[in-house]
Amino acid sequence: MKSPSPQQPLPIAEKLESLASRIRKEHPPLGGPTVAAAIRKLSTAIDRFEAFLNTVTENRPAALAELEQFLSSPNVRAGLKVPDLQAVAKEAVGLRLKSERLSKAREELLHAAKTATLAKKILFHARQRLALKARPPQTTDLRGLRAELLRIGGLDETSAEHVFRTAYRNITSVRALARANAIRGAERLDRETLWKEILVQARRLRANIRHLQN
Amino acid sequence: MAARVVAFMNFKGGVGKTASVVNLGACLAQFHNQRVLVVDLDPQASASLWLMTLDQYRDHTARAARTVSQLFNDYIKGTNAFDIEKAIVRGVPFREVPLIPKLDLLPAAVDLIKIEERIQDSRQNLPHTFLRRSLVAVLDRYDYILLDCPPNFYSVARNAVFAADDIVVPYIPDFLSLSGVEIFTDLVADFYKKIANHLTGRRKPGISAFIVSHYMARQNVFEQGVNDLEILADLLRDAGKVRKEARVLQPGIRRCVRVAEAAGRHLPVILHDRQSNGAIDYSALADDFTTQLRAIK
Repeated sequence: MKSPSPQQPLPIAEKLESLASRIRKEHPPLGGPTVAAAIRKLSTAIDRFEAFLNTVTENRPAALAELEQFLSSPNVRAGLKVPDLQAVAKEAVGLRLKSERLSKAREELLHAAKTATLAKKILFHARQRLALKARPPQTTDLRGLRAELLRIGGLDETSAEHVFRTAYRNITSVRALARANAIRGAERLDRETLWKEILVQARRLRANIRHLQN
Repeated sequence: MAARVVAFMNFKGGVGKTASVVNLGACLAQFHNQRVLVVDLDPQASASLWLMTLDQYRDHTARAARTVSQLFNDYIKGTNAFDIEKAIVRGVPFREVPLIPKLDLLPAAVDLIKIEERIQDSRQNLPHTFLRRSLVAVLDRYDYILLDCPPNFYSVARNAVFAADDIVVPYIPDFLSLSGVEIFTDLVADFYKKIANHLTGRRKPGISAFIVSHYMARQNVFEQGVNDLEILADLLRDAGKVRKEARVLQPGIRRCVRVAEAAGRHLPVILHDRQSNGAIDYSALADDFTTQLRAIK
């Protein structure tokens, strides 16, 4: 079957109009218990659809809609668990969520957002919590350690050996450099082997960056 | 406020340009309430066929005037057949109703490949400005216009660079990709120098972010690749070849079979499988993407 084009009017509207017109036309001969049962079924389905339509089209505060959208986002569903939602509810509106089930807890939180102001507050705290979970605060000077890897990559054997003996005299500093630069073995290799690994990676990287070759 | 035009570019193919445009666009429209237009500038029409079924696509593009090819053709031939209002497909994907009402698409067609030569041969003035001049008509209607670019730096791609306020570079974290990114940033920086006079009255464009695609956390080579990119980004910032705020967006997009499946079903991954890694990563990336672009005035 050919799919409707996005530019055309909704096919369901046309279908319902055509059905209504046919029922009107064929009304006199229609009758009997099976037809009555089918009509009851259709009528129930229409009532349900209408109720659903009301919930979708009702004029809700924008902040509440935004909160709903936020909570339905896949990364929020995966990132904010029940304890997170409980913390958000407590911080934002001083509410203790009762449910231990994620979907119910989300519903409770949405229910607590009765006004636009409350919805905004909940949204603010939820966003903050998610950001914190997504990107934990960095404790080390990552940029400095990355620049150090690049510098080491440019050293000849003698200078690299000198740096190793003077600046990296203990395993902690070698490990910090390796960890910051995603070099495997930071936890298990001894100081010398790890340093060799760092040198290989540092030289590989330096050789691969064109504007350092000029 | 005028839309932020963002070009997703890298002249290496298969780095996730189309997947980023389609899935990020869907997340921005669905979860951030943003009005988004996806502009497909790749002759392979991958973004178009990701967001429309084959029948819908054929039906829409049966009239050549309804693709970006005609936009360029008009400038080259001096005709006036392109009507952006008719060319834009509103609310994609569409199944009975628009599934993401705030996501629109300006589709591409295969004949875009011929446009490359024609633009180069055309004697029209400022051939890199064609796209921007046409998009001006709809700038006020969107929050974001995302450009899915071809994997090269020819005429259509240069039109995208000129049209964009920001450039986002998708990147696969492996050894071979790094020098490609560097060459690409050099090309963009040189191009901006050449056309500096034509940018007056506009937000100063630049490379604003990098996106890591096809990431596999268990493989050290990928971690290393991301680290290499972070280091390169530091150097490029210091050299002024990317914006001073440019950074690698988080999270990296994990390799995910659901994303490939979603393309085959003509759906963004958030509609295909909401619980998949792809859906989780792209929706998280959309958060960081908006934060990053807001941070750049």
